[in-house]
Amino acid sequence: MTHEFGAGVLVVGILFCLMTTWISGAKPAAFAERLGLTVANPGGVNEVRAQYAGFFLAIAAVCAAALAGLLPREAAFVVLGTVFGGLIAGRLASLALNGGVVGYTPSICALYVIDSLGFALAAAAFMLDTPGAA
Amino acid sequence: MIAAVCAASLLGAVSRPIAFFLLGAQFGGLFLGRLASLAANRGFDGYSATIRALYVIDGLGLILAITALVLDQRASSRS
Repeated sequence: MTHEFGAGVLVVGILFCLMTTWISGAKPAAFAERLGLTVANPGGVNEVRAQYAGFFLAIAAVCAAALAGLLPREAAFVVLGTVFGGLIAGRLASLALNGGVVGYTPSICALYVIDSLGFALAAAAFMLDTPGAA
Repeated sequence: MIAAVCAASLLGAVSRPIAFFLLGAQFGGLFLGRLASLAANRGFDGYSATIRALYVIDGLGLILAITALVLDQRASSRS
């Protein structure tokens, strides 16, 4: 059962990361705009493709390698937990500095839920899958 | 958060290969995205000095992570 849960987390992680890769890589300016960013020049397009398309493609590859047994699952869960944990930590700090969600787009508000869920799932899968971690 | 994992690995709370995987995925992904963007842009036209420097930084980060992983695994297989 714990094995299936971990596999499910990895599959969800792969799908989410590939979707992010595709959307940000295909239309970086539109992707940035949904996040409240403006791409000013080709350097901005480069940064969106690196930070979102390339980075999330690498995370998907780590999850796929773990699912195929080429990497320890523990490594993939730490990578997922670090990514989503870092994202939600940054968002919470930003929420405090902004004094609330005023001015945030629906995409940004949704990312609070997505990143929290991603972190919780990665942490749960790590605890269940790693002997002695729980 | 990546800094926290690397620090935890230095303190022995997280295994070193996991920290190297994390660094490799991070810098490898960034570098891959920059290479794809370079191909789509057909060159460095319009890139600032910062973006150009990030090609070197991300490339070096990837090489260092892979080298550290290989050296660490060699050392642990010897002992």
